[in-house]
Amino acid sequence: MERINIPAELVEEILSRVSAKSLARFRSTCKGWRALLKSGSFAERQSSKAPKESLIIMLMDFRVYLVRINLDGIHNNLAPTFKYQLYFEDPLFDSLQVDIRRVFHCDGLLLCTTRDNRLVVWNPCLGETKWIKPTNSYDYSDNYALGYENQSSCKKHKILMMYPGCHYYHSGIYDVFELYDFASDSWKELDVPTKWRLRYSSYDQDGMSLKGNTYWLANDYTNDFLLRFDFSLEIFSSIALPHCFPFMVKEISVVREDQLFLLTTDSVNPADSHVWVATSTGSDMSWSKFQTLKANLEGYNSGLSFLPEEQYKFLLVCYNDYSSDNKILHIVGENEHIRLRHPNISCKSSCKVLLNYVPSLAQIQ
Amino acid sequence: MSKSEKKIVLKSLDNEAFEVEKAVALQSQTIWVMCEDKCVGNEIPLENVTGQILAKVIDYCKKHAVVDGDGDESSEELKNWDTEFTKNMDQSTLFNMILAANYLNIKSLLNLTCQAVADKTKTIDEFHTFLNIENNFTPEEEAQICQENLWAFDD
Repeated sequence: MERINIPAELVEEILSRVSAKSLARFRSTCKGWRALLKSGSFAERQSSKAPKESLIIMLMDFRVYLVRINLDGIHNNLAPTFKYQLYFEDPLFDSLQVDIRRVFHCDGLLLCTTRDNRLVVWNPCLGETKWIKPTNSYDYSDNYALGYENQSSCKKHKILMMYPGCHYYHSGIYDVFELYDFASDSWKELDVPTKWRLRYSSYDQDGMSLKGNTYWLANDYTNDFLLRFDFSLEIFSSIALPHCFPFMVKEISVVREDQLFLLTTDSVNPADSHVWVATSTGSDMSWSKFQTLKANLEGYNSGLSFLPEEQYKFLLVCYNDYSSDNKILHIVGENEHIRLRHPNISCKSSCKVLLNYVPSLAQIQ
Repeated sequence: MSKSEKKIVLKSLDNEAFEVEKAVALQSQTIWVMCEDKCVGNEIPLENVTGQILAKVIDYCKKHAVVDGDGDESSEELKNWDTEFTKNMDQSTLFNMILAANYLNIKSLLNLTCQAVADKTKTIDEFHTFLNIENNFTPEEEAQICQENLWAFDD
């Protein structure tokens, strides 16, 4: 076999055009390549040149699974596969996997809360993790979001942590805010006057990351609106939903980190659900209808997550459905509603989250 | 400028001679510098490129040259031509094209061929076949990384 001596800079030129997920496979090639993939300058080049893949992940039974759904064969009863777990070991317990309770995605990084309330940022492509120490301690009711400053070419990541002070415990209101800075490895308190609460008073409502900022559904006791935390300016702002919305707003979702979707149910025709897509994401957001689906989701008020599937116009939904058996993933089309389950996972125990994951070589910094 | 001055002869490593329009050849920064230096005559020896590869490079340059006003092809058409151009090349040819584009300093061809290899190469083995890469991990280290990476092989 002919061997070719390609100079190192040309090998880098080629690799910078390979998607992050494929590069994850190349980490085991040799030490030189592993070091290259971890370097910040290479990550920057790769991020501007290589195609971005959008994968679906699900949190089930405290594990993050990669979900592959073959919608080509949906009419032939071809089920999705939940083949691979995203994997990392717990440094506290030798060779044991970490039990993940909640997961948040931003920029190819997964911000995970463990079952025993520790906080870790994880880049599955690089196999890197960073455990974040709390000021005092973490609690079950904490809410975390990962974002970055959008102004410089080198992304500066930050973690927002909000939790209820002693007056508001169990009320769904957050009134203490802290921001973590990776460079100084420390938390600072933010002064935020809150006149809002998150849409669902339970503490498992995660925000969604869009272009470095995080969005939640919130209300001020009269109206629902979108709450945004701007990680560059370090401020919250509220964005009105369409004024004459005759629908119940259910949840938001982000696809490929750049498209924001809104799921609503129809109070006149409860059997219908509607998905809207934000057509501009400034302070004056406008929405256009993306799809209407035959699915009655009225009863599900918390722990619901969804992802629109653009090519086939299906909606993937999952929610905490304790009453039924363990059918965990719902694929809803204009006229069909298919329930799918994982053969080996009971999944009654943990909240299920469906998320878009866009692998990247982003450094945890 | 006389007619003969508009032509130039490129000679490959294996002594194959190609007569081409100057405008075609000058897309190569390397050839451009050689011509500027006037250190060569009308014949330019290219010691790093075989005739087989040089023929392909010239095909590319002809397509991308703006010669006497007939270079007005739409960018869409050029893009499709580029895709077709690399589609049926095997990995060995592509790697040699990359080396040639680098030596001749033709940026757009280097971009095109690097992208083509990146798109076609899905496994480490494909790289190992052509590149001199020595796996310097211990078996334990490799097993650990492979375990972590299992999810990335889900195609």
